[in-house]
Amino acid sequence: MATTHLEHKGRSIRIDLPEGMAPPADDRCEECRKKNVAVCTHHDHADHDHVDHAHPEPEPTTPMQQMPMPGQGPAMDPAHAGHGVPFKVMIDGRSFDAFVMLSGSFYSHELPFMMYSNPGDLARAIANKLDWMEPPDGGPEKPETPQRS
Amino acid sequence: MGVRRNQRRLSAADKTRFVAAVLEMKAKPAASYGYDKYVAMHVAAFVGGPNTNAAHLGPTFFPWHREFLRLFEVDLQAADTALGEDGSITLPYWDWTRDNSPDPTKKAGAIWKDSFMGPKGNPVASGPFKTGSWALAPPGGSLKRALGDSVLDGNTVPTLATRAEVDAATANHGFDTFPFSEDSDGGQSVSGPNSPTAKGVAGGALPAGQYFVVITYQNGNGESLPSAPRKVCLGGACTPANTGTAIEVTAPAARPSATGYSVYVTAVGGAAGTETFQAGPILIGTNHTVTALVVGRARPTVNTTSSFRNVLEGWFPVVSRPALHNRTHVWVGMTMSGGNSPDDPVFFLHHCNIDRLWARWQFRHPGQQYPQVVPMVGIPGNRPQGLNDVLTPFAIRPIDVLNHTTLGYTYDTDPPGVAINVSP
Repeated sequence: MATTHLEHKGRSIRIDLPEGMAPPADDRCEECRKKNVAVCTHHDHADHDHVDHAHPEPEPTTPMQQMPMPGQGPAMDPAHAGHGVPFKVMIDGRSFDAFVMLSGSFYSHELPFMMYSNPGDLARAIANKLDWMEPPDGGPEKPETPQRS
Repeated sequence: MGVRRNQRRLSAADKTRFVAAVLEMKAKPAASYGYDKYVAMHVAAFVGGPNTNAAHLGPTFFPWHREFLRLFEVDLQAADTALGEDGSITLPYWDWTRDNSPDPTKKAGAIWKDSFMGPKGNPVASGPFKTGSWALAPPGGSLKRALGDSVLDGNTVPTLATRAEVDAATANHGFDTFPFSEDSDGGQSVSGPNSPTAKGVAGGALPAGQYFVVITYQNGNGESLPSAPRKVCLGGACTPANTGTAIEVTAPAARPSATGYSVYVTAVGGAAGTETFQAGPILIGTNHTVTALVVGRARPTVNTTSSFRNVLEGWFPVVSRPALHNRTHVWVGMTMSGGNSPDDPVFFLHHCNIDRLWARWQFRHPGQQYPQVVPMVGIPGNRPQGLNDVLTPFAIRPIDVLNHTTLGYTYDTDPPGVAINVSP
Protein backbone atom coordinates (compact mmCIF):
# COMPACT_ATOMS: atom_id res chain seq x y z
CA MET A 1 0.00 0.00 0.00
CA ALA A 2 1.34 3.41 -0.98
CA THR A 3 -0.25 6.28 0.91
CA THR A 4 -0.34 9.87 -0.30
CA HIS A 5 -1.72 12.87 1.58
CA LEU A 6 -3.17 15.92 -0.16
CA GLU A 7 -5.12 18.95 0.89
CA HIS A 8 -7.87 20.53 -1.17
CA LYS A 9 -10.01 23.48 -0.12
CA GLY A 10 -9.20 22.81 3.51
CA ARG A 11 -10.11 19.15 3.30
CA SER A 12 -7.66 16.45 4.25
CA ILE A 13 -7.31 13.79 1.56
CA ARG A 14 -5.58 10.44 1.96
CA ILE A 15 -5.12 8.11 -1.01
CA ASP A 16 -4.15 4.48 -0.47
CA LEU A 17 -2.96 3.08 -3.78
CA PRO A 18 -1.89 -0.48 -4.52
CA GLU A 19 1.82 -1.02 -3.98
CA GLY A 20 3.92 -0.04 -6.95
CA MET A 21 1.57 2.53 -8.37
CA ALA A 22 2.78 6.03 -9.05
CA PRO A 23 1.69 8.68 -6.54
CA PRO A 24 -0.91 11.13 -7.82
CA ALA A 25 0.42 13.90 -9.98
CA ASP A 26 -0.85 17.45 -9.80
CA ASP A 27 -0.49 18.70 -13.34
CA ARG A 28 -2.97 21.54 -12.93
CA CYS A 29 -1.87 24.99 -13.96
CA GLU A 30 -1.24 27.66 -11.36
CA GLU A 31 -4.59 29.34 -11.97
CA CYS A 32 -6.55 26.14 -11.48
CA ARG A 33 -4.72 25.49 -8.26
CA LYS A 34 -5.52 29.01 -7.03
CA LYS A 35 -9.17 28.56 -7.96
CA ASN A 36 -9.30 25.11 -6.38
CA VAL A 37 -10.58 23.63 -9.61
CA ALA A 38 -10.37 19.85 -9.34
CA VAL A 39 -9.36 19.19 -12.94
CA CYS A 40 -7.94 21.63 -15.48
CA THR A 41 -10.30 21.72 -18.43
CA HIS A 42 -9.35 25.05 -20.01
CA HIS A 43 -9.82 23.59 -23.43
CA ASP A 44 -13.50 23.55 -22.70
CA HIS A 45 -13.76 26.88 -20.93
CA ALA A 46 -14.89 29.40 -23.51
CA ASP A 47 -14.93 32.04 -20.81
CA HIS A 48 -11.63 31.02 -19.28
CA ASP A 49 -9.34 33.97 -19.04
CA HIS A 50 -6.19 32.06 -19.83
CA VAL A 51 -7.45 30.00 -22.69
CA ASP A 52 -4.48 31.09 -24.77
CA HIS A 53 -1.96 29.61 -22.41
CA ALA A 54 -0.03 26.63 -23.60
CA HIS A 55 -2.10 23.66 -22.53
CA PRO A 56 -1.11 20.48 -24.26
CA GLU A 57 -3.94 18.16 -25.19
CA PRO A 58 -4.51 16.02 -22.12
CA GLU A 59 -3.36 12.50 -22.68
CA PRO A 60 -4.76 9.79 -20.48
CA THR A 61 -1.99 8.45 -18.34
CA THR A 62 -1.58 4.75 -18.89
CA PRO A 63 0.14 3.15 -15.97
CA MET A 64 -0.59 -0.27 -17.41
CA GLN A 65 2.90 -1.47 -16.69
CA GLN A 66 2.60 -0.36 -13.09
CA MET A 67 -0.86 -1.69 -12.51
CA PRO A 68 -1.33 -5.17 -11.09
CA MET A 69 -3.50 -7.20 -13.42
CA PRO A 70 -6.56 -8.93 -12.00
CA GLY A 71 -5.49 -11.86 -9.93
CA GLN A 72 -1.91 -10.62 -9.67
CA GLY A 73 -2.32 -7.59 -7.46
CA PRO A 74 -3.96 -6.96 -4.11
CA ALA A 75 -6.77 -9.30 -3.16
CA MET A 76 -9.99 -8.13 -4.74
CA ASP A 77 -13.31 -8.06 -2.99
CA PRO A 78 -15.52 -10.36 -5.08
CA ALA A 79 -18.22 -7.71 -5.02
CA HIS A 80 -15.81 -5.44 -6.85
CA ALA A 81 -14.63 -7.94 -9.43
CA GLY A 82 -14.90 -6.45 -12.85
CA HIS A 83 -14.23 -2.91 -11.73
CA GLY A 84 -10.48 -2.81 -11.88
CA VAL A 85 -8.03 -2.63 -9.04
CA PRO A 86 -9.72 -1.11 -5.99
CA PHE A 87 -8.20 1.53 -3.77
CA LYS A 88 -9.38 3.91 -1.08
CA VAL A 89 -9.77 7.65 -0.92
CA MET A 90 -10.27 9.12 2.57
CA ILE A 91 -11.56 12.68 2.82
CA ASP A 92 -11.93 14.24 6.25
CA GLY A 93 -12.22 10.74 7.65
CA ARG A 94 -14.84 9.51 5.18
CA SER A 95 -13.86 6.56 3.03
CA PHE A 96 -14.69 6.27 -0.66
CA ASP A 97 -14.14 3.27 -2.91
CA ALA A 98 -12.25 3.98 -6.10
CA PHE A 99 -10.83 1.86 -8.90
CA VAL A 100 -7.95 1.85 -11.36
CA MET A 101 -9.50 0.83 -14.66
CA LEU A 102 -7.60 -1.34 -17.13
CA SER A 103 -7.15 1.78 -19.25
CA GLY A 104 -5.19 3.31 -16.39
CA SER A 105 -7.91 5.85 -15.61
CA PHE A 106 -9.20 6.43 -12.11
CA TYR A 107 -12.88 5.99 -11.33
CA SER A 108 -15.35 6.11 -8.47
CA HIS A 109 -19.05 5.42 -8.27
CA GLU A 110 -19.32 8.78 -6.52
CA LEU A 111 -18.85 10.47 -9.91
CA PRO A 112 -19.75 7.76 -12.41
CA PHE A 113 -19.83 9.97 -15.51
CA MET A 114 -16.21 11.03 -15.22
CA MET A 115 -12.85 9.29 -15.18
CA TYR A 116 -9.65 10.96 -14.11
CA SER A 117 -6.12 10.75 -15.40
CA ASN A 118 -4.59 10.55 -11.94
CA PRO A 119 -5.84 9.66 -8.45
CA GLY A 120 -5.27 13.20 -7.16
CA ASP A 121 -7.75 14.62 -9.67
CA LEU A 122 -10.29 11.99 -8.65
CA ALA A 123 -9.80 12.68 -4.95
CA ARG A 124 -10.16 16.45 -5.45
CA ALA A 125 -13.33 15.93 -7.48
CA ILE A 126 -14.84 13.80 -4.70
CA ALA A 127 -13.82 16.49 -2.22
CA ASN A 128 -15.60 19.09 -4.38
CA LYS A 129 -18.74 16.96 -4.25
CA LEU A 130 -18.64 17.12 -0.46
CA ASP A 131 -19.13 20.88 -0.77
CA TRP A 132 -22.75 20.35 -1.73
CA MET A 133 -23.52 16.81 -0.57
CA GLU A 134 -25.90 16.32 2.30
CA PRO A 135 -23.99 15.38 5.47
CA PRO A 136 -24.26 11.60 5.88
CA ASP A 137 -25.59 11.81 9.43
CA GLY A 138 -27.10 15.26 9.43
CA GLY A 139 -24.14 16.62 11.34
CA PRO A 140 -21.57 19.18 10.24
CA GLU A 141 -20.04 18.11 6.96
CA LYS A 142 -16.85 20.13 6.93
CA PRO A 143 -14.59 20.66 9.93
CA GLU A 144 -14.08 24.29 10.86
CA THR A 145 -10.38 23.75 11.23
CA PRO A 146 -8.83 22.00 8.27
CA GLN A 147 -7.28 18.71 9.26
CA ARG A 148 -3.68 18.33 8.38
CA SER A 149 -1.92 15.06 8.06
CA MET B 1 -48.51 4.37 -30.88
CA GLY B 2 -47.14 7.21 -28.78
CA VAL B 3 -44.85 9.79 -30.28
CA ARG B 4 -42.01 11.12 -28.14
CA ARG B 5 -41.54 14.79 -28.95
CA ASN B 6 -38.93 17.47 -28.45
CA GLN B 7 -39.68 19.28 -25.18
CA ARG B 8 -39.34 22.62 -26.96
CA ARG B 9 -42.40 21.73 -29.05
CA LEU B 10 -44.60 20.96 -26.04
CA SER B 11 -47.38 23.42 -25.29
CA ALA B 12 -47.69 24.99 -21.84
CA ALA B 13 -50.54 22.57 -21.15
CA ASP B 14 -48.37 19.62 -22.24
CA LYS B 15 -45.64 20.68 -19.84
CA THR B 16 -48.07 21.15 -16.97
CA ARG B 17 -49.50 17.70 -17.62
CA PHE B 18 -46.05 16.10 -17.70
CA VAL B 19 -44.99 17.75 -14.44
CA ALA B 20 -48.27 16.75 -12.78
CA ALA B 21 -47.78 13.12 -13.78
CA VAL B 22 -44.19 13.12 -12.45
CA LEU B 23 -45.36 14.62 -9.14
CA GLU B 24 -48.13 12.03 -8.98
CA MET B 25 -45.53 9.28 -9.46
CA LYS B 26 -43.44 10.81 -6.68
CA ALA B 27 -46.37 10.54 -4.28
CA LYS B 28 -46.86 6.84 -4.87
CA PRO B 29 -44.99 3.81 -3.44
CA ALA B 30 -42.83 1.55 -5.55
CA ALA B 31 -45.46 -1.18 -5.79
CA SER B 32 -47.72 1.26 -7.56
CA TYR B 33 -46.33 3.63 -10.17
CA GLY B 34 -43.90 5.18 -7.72
CA TYR B 35 -40.99 7.33 -8.89
CA ASP B 36 -38.32 6.46 -6.33
CA LYS B 37 -37.86 2.87 -7.47
CA TYR B 38 -36.27 4.18 -10.66
CA VAL B 39 -33.63 5.97 -8.65
CA ALA B 40 -32.88 2.78 -6.72
CA MET B 41 -32.75 0.78 -9.95
CA HIS B 42 -30.18 3.13 -11.46
CA VAL B 43 -28.07 3.23 -8.31
CA ALA B 44 -28.05 -0.59 -8.30
CA ALA B 45 -26.75 -0.54 -11.85
CA PHE B 46 -23.56 1.02 -10.49
CA VAL B 47 -22.98 -0.97 -7.32
CA GLY B 48 -23.56 -4.57 -6.39
CA GLY B 49 -22.54 -8.02 -7.42
CA PRO B 50 -21.12 -9.63 -10.53
CA ASN B 51 -23.66 -7.93 -12.78
CA THR B 52 -22.56 -4.57 -11.49
CA ASN B 53 -22.75 -1.66 -13.84
CA ALA B 54 -24.74 -3.45 -16.48
CA ALA B 55 -26.15 -0.09 -17.52
CA HIS B 56 -22.94 1.74 -18.41
CA LEU B 57 -19.48 1.34 -19.87
CA GLY B 58 -20.51 -1.35 -22.32
CA PRO B 59 -22.90 -2.28 -25.13
CA THR B 60 -25.89 -2.64 -22.79
CA PHE B 61 -25.79 1.10 -22.17
CA PHE B 62 -28.44 1.63 -24.85
CA PRO B 63 -30.78 -1.35 -24.35
CA TRP B 64 -30.67 -1.08 -20.54
CA HIS B 65 -31.73 2.55 -20.60
CA ARG B 66 -34.30 1.91 -23.35
CA GLU B 67 -36.10 -0.59 -21.13
CA PHE B 68 -35.63 1.66 -18.09
CA LEU B 69 -37.33 4.54 -19.91
CA ARG B 70 -40.06 2.31 -21.30
CA LEU B 71 -41.02 1.13 -17.80
CA PHE B 72 -40.92 4.71 -16.53
CA GLU B 73 -43.15 5.83 -19.37
CA VAL B 74 -45.70 3.10 -18.58
CA ASP B 75 -45.83 4.33 -14.97
CA LEU B 76 -46.03 7.92 -16.17
CA GLN B 77 -49.07 6.99 -18.24
CA ALA B 78 -50.65 5.27 -15.23
CA ALA B 79 -50.13 8.44 -13.21
CA ASP B 80 -51.58 10.48 -16.06
CA THR B 81 -54.68 8.26 -16.06
CA ALA B 82 -55.01 8.56 -12.30
CA LEU B 83 -55.13 12.32 -12.72
CA GLY B 84 -58.12 12.05 -15.04
CA GLU B 85 -56.25 12.26 -18.34
CA ASP B 86 -56.36 9.60 -21.04
CA GLY B 87 -52.95 8.08 -20.30
CA SER B 88 -51.56 8.94 -23.70
CA ILE B 89 -48.71 11.03 -22.32
CA THR B 90 -45.21 10.24 -23.61
CA LEU B 91 -41.72 11.14 -22.50
CA PRO B 92 -40.36 14.29 -24.11
CA TYR B 93 -36.71 14.53 -25.08
CA TRP B 94 -34.21 17.31 -24.44
CA ASP B 95 -32.01 18.09 -27.43
CA TRP B 96 -29.16 19.69 -25.49
CA THR B 97 -27.30 20.63 -28.67
CA ARG B 98 -29.97 23.24 -29.33
CA ASP B 99 -31.44 23.97 -25.92
CA ASN B 100 -28.08 24.57 -24.35
CA SER B 101 -28.49 27.65 -22.18
CA PRO B 102 -28.76 27.60 -18.39
CA ASP B 103 -30.76 30.84 -18.52
CA PRO B 104 -34.54 30.23 -18.30
CA THR B 105 -35.25 33.68 -19.75
CA LYS B 106 -33.66 32.65 -23.06
CA LYS B 107 -35.39 30.45 -25.58
CA ALA B 108 -32.51 27.96 -25.49
CA GLY B 109 -32.94 27.77 -21.71
CA ALA B 110 -36.72 27.59 -21.55
CA ILE B 111 -36.55 24.03 -20.23
CA TRP B 112 -35.40 25.52 -16.90
CA LYS B 113 -38.44 27.75 -16.42
CA ASP B 114 -40.40 27.39 -13.19
CA SER B 115 -43.29 26.04 -15.22
CA PHE B 116 -41.28 23.01 -16.31
CA MET B 117 -38.00 21.67 -14.91
CA GLY B 118 -37.13 24.67 -12.75
CA PRO B 119 -33.74 26.42 -12.56
CA LYS B 120 -30.30 25.74 -11.14
CA GLY B 121 -29.64 26.07 -7.45
CA ASN B 122 -28.13 24.59 -4.29
CA PRO B 123 -30.81 23.60 -3.62
CA VAL B 124 -33.23 24.33 -6.46
CA ALA B 125 -35.43 27.01 -4.92
CA SER B 126 -38.29 27.43 -7.39
CA GLY B 127 -40.34 25.42 -9.83
CA PRO B 128 -42.16 22.13 -9.30
CA PHE B 129 -39.07 20.32 -8.01
CA LYS B 130 -37.90 22.94 -5.52
CA THR B 131 -36.74 22.05 -2.05
CA GLY B 132 -39.69 21.32 0.18
CA SER B 133 -41.80 20.15 -2.75
CA TRP B 134 -39.48 17.48 -4.14
CA ALA B 135 -37.47 15.16 -1.89
CA LEU B 136 -34.81 12.91 -3.32
CA ALA B 137 -35.28 9.17 -2.96
CA PRO B 138 -34.00 7.70 0.34
CA PRO B 139 -31.78 8.71 2.05
CA GLY B 140 -33.40 11.96 0.94
CA GLY B 141 -32.22 15.50 0.41
CA SER B 142 -33.03 18.31 -1.99
CA LEU B 143 -32.56 18.55 -5.73
CA LYS B 144 -29.43 20.47 -6.73
CA ARG B 145 -28.27 21.64 -10.14
CA ALA B 146 -25.28 23.60 -11.39
CA LEU B 147 -26.08 23.97 -15.11
CA GLY B 148 -22.42 24.65 -15.86
CA ASP B 149 -21.87 26.95 -12.88
CA SER B 150 -18.57 25.96 -11.28
CA VAL B 151 -19.35 28.05 -8.20
CA LEU B 152 -22.18 25.64 -7.43
CA ASP B 153 -20.33 22.48 -8.49
CA GLY B 154 -16.57 22.56 -8.88
CA ASN B 155 -16.74 19.46 -11.06
CA THR B 156 -19.05 20.82 -13.73
CA VAL B 157 -18.18 21.68 -17.33
CA PRO B 158 -19.22 25.03 -18.81
CA THR B 159 -20.80 23.86 -22.07
CA LEU B 160 -22.86 21.04 -23.52
CA ALA B 161 -22.02 18.96 -26.58
CA THR B 162 -22.67 20.40 -30.04
CA ARG B 163 -24.67 19.22 -33.02
CA ALA B 164 -21.40 18.53 -34.86
CA GLU B 165 -20.29 16.20 -32.08
CA VAL B 166 -23.58 14.30 -32.26
CA ASP B 167 -23.28 14.04 -36.04
CA ALA B 168 -19.75 12.70 -35.70
CA ALA B 169 -20.94 10.13 -33.18
CA THR B 170 -23.79 8.86 -35.33
CA ALA B 171 -21.43 8.62 -38.31
CA ASN B 172 -19.66 5.71 -36.60
CA HIS B 173 -20.68 2.64 -38.52
CA GLY B 174 -20.05 0.18 -35.73
CA PHE B 175 -22.32 -0.23 -32.72
CA ASP B 176 -19.59 -1.33 -30.32
CA THR B 177 -16.24 -3.00 -30.45
CA PHE B 178 -13.65 -4.74 -28.31
CA PRO B 179 -12.91 -4.24 -25.43
CA PHE B 180 -16.55 -3.13 -25.00
CA SER B 181 -15.66 -0.56 -22.39
CA GLU B 182 -14.62 3.08 -22.02
CA ASP B 183 -11.65 2.14 -24.22
CA SER B 184 -13.64 1.08 -27.27
CA ASP B 185 -12.48 2.91 -30.33
CA GLY B 186 -14.34 5.56 -32.26
CA GLY B 187 -13.62 7.05 -35.64
CA GLN B 188 -13.94 5.53 -39.05
CA SER B 189 -10.79 6.02 -41.07
CA VAL B 190 -8.54 3.04 -41.42
CA SER B 191 -5.74 2.34 -43.82
CA GLY B 192 -2.92 -0.10 -44.00
CA PRO B 193 -1.67 -3.25 -45.68
CA ASN B 194 -3.74 -5.37 -48.02
CA SER B 195 -6.51 -7.38 -46.49
CA PRO B 196 -5.89 -11.05 -45.79
CA THR B 197 -8.34 -13.82 -46.61
CA ALA B 198 -9.30 -16.77 -44.47
CA LYS B 199 -10.32 -19.96 -46.24
CA GLY B 200 -11.41 -23.24 -44.77
CA VAL B 201 -12.89 -26.64 -45.33
CA ALA B 202 -16.42 -27.24 -44.19
CA GLY B 203 -17.27 -29.60 -41.40
CA GLY B 204 -14.44 -30.17 -39.00
CA ALA B 205 -15.44 -30.75 -35.43
CA LEU B 206 -18.51 -28.57 -35.56
CA PRO B 207 -21.89 -29.97 -36.51
CA ALA B 208 -23.58 -28.93 -39.70
CA GLY B 209 -25.19 -25.57 -39.44
CA GLN B 210 -24.70 -21.86 -39.86
CA TYR B 211 -21.76 -19.97 -38.43
CA PHE B 212 -20.40 -16.47 -38.33
CA VAL B 213 -16.78 -15.92 -39.29
CA VAL B 214 -14.95 -12.76 -38.25
CA ILE B 215 -11.38 -11.68 -38.91
CA THR B 216 -10.03 -9.36 -36.25
CA TYR B 217 -6.80 -7.39 -36.42
CA GLN B 218 -4.65 -7.01 -33.37
CA ASN B 219 -1.74 -4.83 -32.40
CA GLY B 220 0.56 -4.34 -29.48
CA ASN B 221 -1.64 -1.60 -28.05
CA GLY B 222 -4.59 -3.90 -27.67
CA GLU B 223 -6.44 -2.29 -30.54
CA SER B 224 -8.66 -4.47 -32.63
CA LEU B 225 -10.44 -4.07 -35.92
CA PRO B 226 -12.92 -6.82 -36.75
CA SER B 227 -14.45 -7.52 -40.13
CA ALA B 228 -18.17 -7.64 -40.61
CA PRO B 229 -19.37 -11.17 -39.78
CA ARG B 230 -19.86 -13.41 -42.78
CA LYS B 231 -22.54 -16.02 -42.35
CA VAL B 232 -21.38 -19.40 -43.67
CA CYS B 233 -23.07 -22.76 -43.83
CA LEU B 234 -21.29 -26.01 -42.96
CA GLY B 235 -22.48 -29.50 -43.82
CA GLY B 236 -24.17 -31.35 -46.64
CA ALA B 237 -27.62 -30.01 -45.88
CA CYS B 238 -26.63 -26.44 -46.56
CA THR B 239 -28.50 -24.29 -48.99
CA PRO B 240 -26.84 -23.40 -51.22
CA ALA B 241 -24.94 -26.66 -51.21
CA ASN B 242 -21.66 -26.57 -49.38
CA THR B 243 -18.75 -26.68 -51.76
CA GLY B 244 -16.07 -27.63 -49.30
CA THR B 245 -14.66 -24.15 -49.18
CA ALA B 246 -17.51 -22.41 -47.46
CA ILE B 247 -15.38 -20.25 -45.22
CA GLU B 248 -13.89 -17.41 -47.15
CA VAL B 249 -13.84 -14.04 -45.50
CA THR B 250 -11.76 -11.04 -46.41
CA ALA B 251 -10.82 -8.74 -43.58
CA PRO B 252 -11.16 -4.98 -43.64
CA ALA B 253 -8.08 -2.94 -44.36
CA ALA B 254 -5.72 -2.98 -41.41
CA ARG B 255 -4.30 -0.02 -39.55
CA PRO B 256 -0.60 0.53 -40.13
CA SER B 257 0.01 -0.52 -36.53
CA ALA B 258 -1.61 -3.94 -36.96
CA THR B 259 0.74 -6.80 -36.13
CA GLY B 260 -1.49 -9.78 -36.83
CA TYR B 261 -5.00 -11.05 -37.09
CA SER B 262 -7.19 -13.77 -35.67
CA VAL B 263 -10.14 -15.70 -37.02
CA TYR B 264 -13.22 -16.31 -34.91
CA VAL B 265 -16.02 -18.72 -35.71
CA THR B 266 -19.33 -18.57 -33.83
CA ALA B 267 -22.54 -20.54 -34.11
CA VAL B 268 -25.37 -18.37 -35.36
CA GLY B 269 -27.41 -17.40 -32.33
CA GLY B 270 -24.37 -16.63 -30.27
CA ALA B 271 -24.73 -19.41 -27.72
CA ALA B 272 -21.83 -19.21 -25.27
CA GLY B 273 -19.10 -21.80 -25.71
CA THR B 274 -19.71 -22.46 -29.36
CA GLU B 275 -17.09 -20.05 -30.50
CA THR B 276 -13.60 -21.03 -31.48
CA PHE B 277 -10.46 -19.04 -31.94
CA GLN B 278 -8.41 -20.11 -34.93
CA ALA B 279 -4.64 -20.24 -34.76
CA GLY B 280 -3.88 -16.63 -34.12
CA PRO B 281 -2.38 -14.21 -34.17
CA ILE B 282 -1.51 -14.74 -37.81
CA LEU B 283 1.05 -12.49 -39.46
CA ILE B 284 -0.21 -9.64 -41.59
CA GLY B 285 -0.01 -10.46 -45.27
CA THR B 286 -0.51 -14.19 -44.67
CA ASN B 287 -3.71 -15.87 -45.71
CA HIS B 288 -5.08 -18.42 -43.30
CA THR B 289 -6.65 -21.80 -43.88
CA VAL B 290 -9.11 -23.02 -41.28
CA THR B 291 -8.27 -26.68 -40.80
CA ALA B 292 -10.36 -27.54 -37.78
CA LEU B 293 -13.24 -25.99 -35.95
CA VAL B 294 -13.09 -26.87 -32.29
CA VAL B 295 -15.59 -25.76 -29.71
CA GLY B 296 -13.72 -23.43 -27.46
CA ARG B 297 -13.84 -20.47 -25.16
CA ALA B 298 -16.20 -17.69 -26.05
CA ARG B 299 -14.54 -14.86 -27.90
CA PRO B 300 -15.85 -11.49 -28.94
CA THR B 301 -18.05 -11.65 -31.98
CA VAL B 302 -18.04 -8.03 -32.86
CA ASN B 303 -19.02 -7.04 -36.31
CA THR B 304 -18.03 -3.43 -36.19
CA THR B 305 -15.05 -1.25 -36.77
CA SER B 306 -15.81 1.43 -34.22
CA SER B 307 -17.99 2.05 -31.23
CA PHE B 308 -20.93 4.39 -31.69
CA ARG B 309 -21.89 3.34 -28.16
CA ASN B 310 -18.65 4.49 -26.57
CA VAL B 311 -18.61 7.76 -28.49
CA LEU B 312 -22.18 8.70 -27.61
CA GLU B 313 -21.85 7.48 -24.04
CA GLY B 314 -19.05 10.00 -23.82
CA TRP B 315 -15.80 8.22 -23.01
CA PHE B 316 -14.17 8.77 -26.40
CA PRO B 317 -11.64 10.12 -27.30
CA VAL B 318 -10.28 10.95 -23.81
CA VAL B 319 -12.00 9.42 -20.81
CA SER B 320 -11.08 12.34 -18.57
CA ARG B 321 -12.98 14.78 -20.80
CA PRO B 322 -16.67 13.92 -20.51
CA ALA B 323 -18.41 14.09 -23.88
CA LEU B 324 -21.98 13.87 -25.18
CA HIS B 325 -24.08 11.77 -22.74
CA ASN B 326 -21.56 12.00 -19.91
CA ARG B 327 -21.08 15.70 -20.51
CA THR B 328 -24.75 16.46 -20.01
CA HIS B 329 -24.72 14.67 -16.65
CA VAL B 330 -21.64 16.63 -15.61
CA TRP B 331 -22.98 19.96 -16.95
CA VAL B 332 -26.30 19.70 -15.11
CA GLY B 333 -24.10 18.59 -12.24
CA MET B 334 -24.72 17.94 -8.58
CA THR B 335 -27.70 15.54 -8.30
CA MET B 336 -27.34 14.62 -11.98
CA SER B 337 -23.64 13.82 -11.60
CA GLY B 338 -24.11 10.75 -9.40
CA GLY B 339 -25.56 7.27 -9.70
CA ASN B 340 -28.80 8.68 -8.25
CA SER B 341 -29.11 11.00 -11.25
CA PRO B 342 -32.75 9.92 -11.91
CA ASP B 343 -33.54 11.90 -8.75
CA ASP B 344 -33.53 14.85 -11.14
CA PRO B 345 -36.53 14.50 -13.48
CA VAL B 346 -34.50 16.03 -16.30
CA PHE B 347 -32.63 12.70 -16.34
CA PHE B 348 -35.55 11.19 -18.25
CA LEU B 349 -35.60 13.96 -20.85
CA HIS B 350 -31.84 13.59 -21.29
CA HIS B 351 -31.94 9.82 -21.71
CA CYS B 352 -34.97 10.05 -23.96
CA ASN B 353 -32.72 12.08 -26.25
CA ILE B 354 -29.96 9.45 -25.98
CA ASP B 355 -32.49 6.76 -26.90
CA ARG B 356 -33.65 8.88 -29.84
CA LEU B 357 -30.06 9.20 -31.05
CA TRP B 358 -29.64 5.41 -30.88
CA ALA B 359 -32.73 5.08 -33.06
CA ARG B 360 -31.34 7.73 -35.41
CA TRP B 361 -28.10 5.75 -35.66
CA GLN B 362 -30.06 2.56 -36.37
CA PHE B 363 -31.94 4.20 -39.22
CA ARG B 364 -28.64 5.42 -40.64
CA HIS B 365 -26.83 2.07 -40.26
CA PRO B 366 -29.38 -0.66 -40.94
CA GLY B 367 -28.73 -4.22 -39.88
CA GLN B 368 -28.21 -6.04 -36.62
CA GLN B 369 -24.93 -4.82 -35.21
CA TYR B 370 -25.32 -5.58 -31.52
CA PRO B 371 -22.52 -7.99 -30.46
CA GLN B 372 -23.62 -11.61 -30.23
CA VAL B 373 -21.26 -12.37 -27.37
CA VAL B 374 -19.34 -10.02 -25.11
CA PRO B 375 -16.33 -11.59 -23.42
CA MET B 376 -16.61 -12.28 -19.71
CA VAL B 377 -13.08 -11.03 -19.21
CA GLY B 378 -11.47 -7.69 -18.78
CA ILE B 379 -12.61 -4.64 -16.92
CA PRO B 380 -15.39 -3.64 -16.70
CA GLY B 381 -16.69 -6.42 -18.92
CA ASN B 382 -17.24 -8.89 -16.14
CA ARG B 383 -20.94 -9.30 -16.77
CA PRO B 384 -22.96 -10.76 -19.60
CA GLN B 385 -23.83 -8.15 -22.18
CA GLY B 386 -24.37 -10.20 -25.31
CA LEU B 387 -27.36 -10.01 -27.61
CA ASN B 388 -29.25 -12.77 -25.79
CA ASP B 389 -28.15 -12.10 -22.22
CA VAL B 390 -30.80 -10.98 -19.75
CA LEU B 391 -30.34 -7.42 -18.58
CA THR B 392 -30.31 -6.98 -14.82
CA PRO B 393 -32.79 -6.27 -13.24
CA PHE B 394 -35.14 -6.57 -16.21
CA ALA B 395 -36.58 -9.71 -17.77
CA ILE B 396 -35.53 -8.66 -21.25
CA ARG B 397 -32.49 -9.14 -23.47
CA PRO B 398 -30.89 -6.59 -25.79
CA ILE B 399 -32.40 -8.43 -28.77
CA ASP B 400 -35.87 -7.70 -27.38
CA VAL B 401 -35.50 -3.92 -27.51
CA LEU B 402 -33.45 -3.27 -30.63
CA ASN B 403 -36.44 -1.94 -32.54
CA HIS B 404 -38.09 0.85 -30.56
CA THR B 405 -41.12 0.94 -32.87
CA THR B 406 -42.12 -2.51 -31.57
CA LEU B 407 -42.18 -1.16 -28.02
CA GLY B 408 -45.10 1.18 -28.53
CA TYR B 409 -43.45 4.47 -29.39
CA THR B 410 -41.73 6.43 -32.12
CA TYR B 411 -39.82 9.70 -32.22
CA ASP B 412 -40.94 12.79 -34.05
CA THR B 413 -37.57 12.66 -35.80
CA ASP B 414 -37.94 9.10 -37.12
CA PRO B 415 -37.80 9.17 -40.94
CA PRO B 416 -41.38 8.81 -42.23
CA GLY B 417 -42.17 5.68 -44.17
CA VAL B 418 -38.90 3.95 -43.28
CA ALA B 419 -39.01 0.73 -41.28
CA ILE B 420 -36.17 0.25 -38.87
CA ASN B 421 -33.97 -2.69 -39.87
CA VAL B 422 -32.20 -4.60 -37.13
CA SER B 423 -31.99 -7.91 -39.00
CA PRO B 424 -28.68 -9.81 -39.23
